[in-house]
Amino acid sequence: MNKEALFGKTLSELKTIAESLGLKPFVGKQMADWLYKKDIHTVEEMKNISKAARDKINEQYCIGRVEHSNVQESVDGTKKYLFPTANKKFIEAAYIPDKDRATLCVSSQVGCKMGCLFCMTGKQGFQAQLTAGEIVNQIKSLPEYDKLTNIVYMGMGEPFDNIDNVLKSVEIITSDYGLAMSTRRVTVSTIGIIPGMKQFLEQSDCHLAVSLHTPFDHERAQLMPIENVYPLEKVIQEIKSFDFGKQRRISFEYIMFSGINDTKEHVKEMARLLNGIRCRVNLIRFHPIPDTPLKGCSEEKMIWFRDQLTKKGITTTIRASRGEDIFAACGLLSTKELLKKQKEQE
Amino acid sequence: MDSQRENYETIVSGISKISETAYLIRIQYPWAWQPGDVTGIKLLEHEPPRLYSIAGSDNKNEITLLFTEKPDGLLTPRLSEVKKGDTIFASKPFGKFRPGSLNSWWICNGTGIAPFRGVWMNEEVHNITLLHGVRNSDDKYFNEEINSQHEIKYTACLSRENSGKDFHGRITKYLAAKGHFPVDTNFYLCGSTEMIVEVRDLLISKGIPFTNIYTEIYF
Repeated sequence: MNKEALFGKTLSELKTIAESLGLKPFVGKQMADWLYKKDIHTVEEMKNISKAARDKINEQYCIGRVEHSNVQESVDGTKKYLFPTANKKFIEAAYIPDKDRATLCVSSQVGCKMGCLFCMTGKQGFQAQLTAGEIVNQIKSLPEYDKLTNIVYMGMGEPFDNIDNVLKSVEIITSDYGLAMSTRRVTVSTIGIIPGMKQFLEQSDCHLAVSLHTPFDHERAQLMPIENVYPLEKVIQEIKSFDFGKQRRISFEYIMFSGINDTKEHVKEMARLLNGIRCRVNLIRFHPIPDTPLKGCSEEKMIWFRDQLTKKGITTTIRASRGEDIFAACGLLSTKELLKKQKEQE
Repeated sequence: MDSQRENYETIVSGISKISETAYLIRIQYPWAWQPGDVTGIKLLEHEPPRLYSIAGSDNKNEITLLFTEKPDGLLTPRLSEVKKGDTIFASKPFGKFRPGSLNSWWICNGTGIAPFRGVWMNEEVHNITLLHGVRNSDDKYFNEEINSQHEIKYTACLSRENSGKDFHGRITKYLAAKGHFPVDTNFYLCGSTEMIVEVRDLLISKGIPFTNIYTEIYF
């Protein structure tokens, strides 16, 4: 019998499990402590739970932690970890140390359905949703877990296409019973799936990042097919109608493509579109992927674009490029592993 | 709330099974729509809607939707059970995928043919090449209708059957074997992520500018 994983369950789910096994609800709290505050891999290690109770838990449940199967390290210190998931798939998590902070970029799906033109993950299609446990495992099983300061959901997959598991994982990461990270240290990124975005804004206090990439809808539709279903204009309308308060941050991601989205018309339209939103724009260098028709912008062009947006009153930064020598662009490593597996099966 | 995404009660006008897994459902629909639009469909008020391309209209104030029943699907096992006269929920039409009706290539797989039917039923079409990827000849939805459209050059790519009449293999195999493509033509792709990503890459590798490729993914 395949045992169900406890890792990734919320406190309320753990209490329900305890009760369903005829145990007191506080055993759920004890399990949460062991799962998220300590570092265990078997139910047997839950030493403050009675042997009889542990045996009952062990009959139906396992811990469900998974170690990484591969790691690549960049000369700049960035590390890309490959984690196996159910059904022999792979996901990537990128650890990015930088002065006084250390960020982990986590995946929310195996593959992706969105098919963005510039994305390597999309080339492997959609393989599976990650469970909340598989998302939180990327953090807790990271060798550098104790050094982490920030989590960004910018790895493989579209988080709001897996909204229930993403919200559960966010709860575990930010709750006192869980990893107890501040909501101000967690950012979830989306290409603009409106129903999921609304649910996230209402049910979480974490930061939001939106992949924008061009303010013009016809261009965006060619880079990002989602534009046909959830147009940027409607995404912005939703964001403008939401009160972000003083602490919560909204940012827009903008990968710069040479000759595509780097003109003064783009600057003007960005200013019009983002008018009234207290936000930051992050300009991102394009990491070229195989067979792409797109090219990245020069450093000079990126600085010019940043300065033009800044003059329009939009806080704009150029994100430092990290891990280029290990293809930190998400999807490359796992796609390679997937193709290797497929070849072995043929 | 965005009124386009609100869901309204509507009545099922009819439902028919057109292949082993595919159904055509007709629902009353009082709103004006354009070919390429989608609508949100659900059976219960408090469940999330699933999006379907409008597959044309057989009667005034009605639309037709094409779906396949997925055993583990959230909606389709129940949707295939509805009867004429039942109430379901639908949203107003929305979307921005606008397949060209002149000198264009339409490339789709499975139920991705739906928005193109919306075009040929509502607009005059001219010099259209339609590639439809399906598993078996049973899945060549609207085959007779398409054959009566003289301006549509239709090729079905059957991945699991060698019918002798159709191309045997996936769309990508058909396209890869083709030497030349008109670079000034627009290509409209609708269907699964895998098909769209592979076909888009293939067209780009054959010299088609990505700005001539329009896509609608069934998310």
